[in-house]
Amino acid sequence: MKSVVKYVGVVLLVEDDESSRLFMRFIFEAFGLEVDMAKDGLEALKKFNSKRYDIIFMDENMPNMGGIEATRKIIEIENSNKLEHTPIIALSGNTQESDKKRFLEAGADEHLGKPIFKDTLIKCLDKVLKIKC
Amino acid sequence: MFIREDNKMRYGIDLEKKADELEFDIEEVEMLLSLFYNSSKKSLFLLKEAVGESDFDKIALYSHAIKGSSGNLMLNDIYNLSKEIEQSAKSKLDIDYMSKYMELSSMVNEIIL
Repeated sequence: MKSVVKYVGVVLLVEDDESSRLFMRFIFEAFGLEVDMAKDGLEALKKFNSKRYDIIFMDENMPNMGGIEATRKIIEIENSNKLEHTPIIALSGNTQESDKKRFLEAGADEHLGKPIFKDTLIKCLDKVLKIKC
Repeated sequence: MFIREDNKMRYGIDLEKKADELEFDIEEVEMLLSLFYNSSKKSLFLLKEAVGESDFDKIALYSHAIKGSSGNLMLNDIYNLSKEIEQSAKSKLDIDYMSKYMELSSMVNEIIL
């Protein structure tokens, strides 16, 4: 995949579906981003505790620990350790307002409905990351 | 039917067209389709069991999984049907889930021949 848009940053992508993970990874890498991946909320917490990320993309429905709970726990870790907030972008196939609200109440900064389109991702990344010229 | 020049794999969809549509390279599309096919086959197996048990929650769960990944790849027929199954199950509608499952299964099977 080729992209004229380039960013600087490290992304944590939390998504249980392998094909969706790879799909997103291709896009992020084309944008010039470094990508770490986690298969569920538990793995995401481990990674979050061992490395600083510029942005986190968090799926909702995952085994072991879902995205809403993982988001809540990340916010707790940030608050208790006085860490700078890492923007969390919720990814969900459930586009109803109630689902979106639950994610945002847990601490997510934005909510993107699936399927994910490149333009939507660019708008979202523009808000958070530096653009490499 | 679309066949790669190296004859490695036969696809039921035009890889070049799909690559253009997604703005990905053909090799990336191949990897994505292959992963989608394998994960969907697993979800379909579980969906069939859930339909046999008339378990609406599980029907919604497994059709939701197929919906998510098919949407990314713009496999619109699969996306629309899995969405219909998911929404029907969430609303506990009494539809013929087995025939919907068979239709969905047939669509997924046509991706890699």
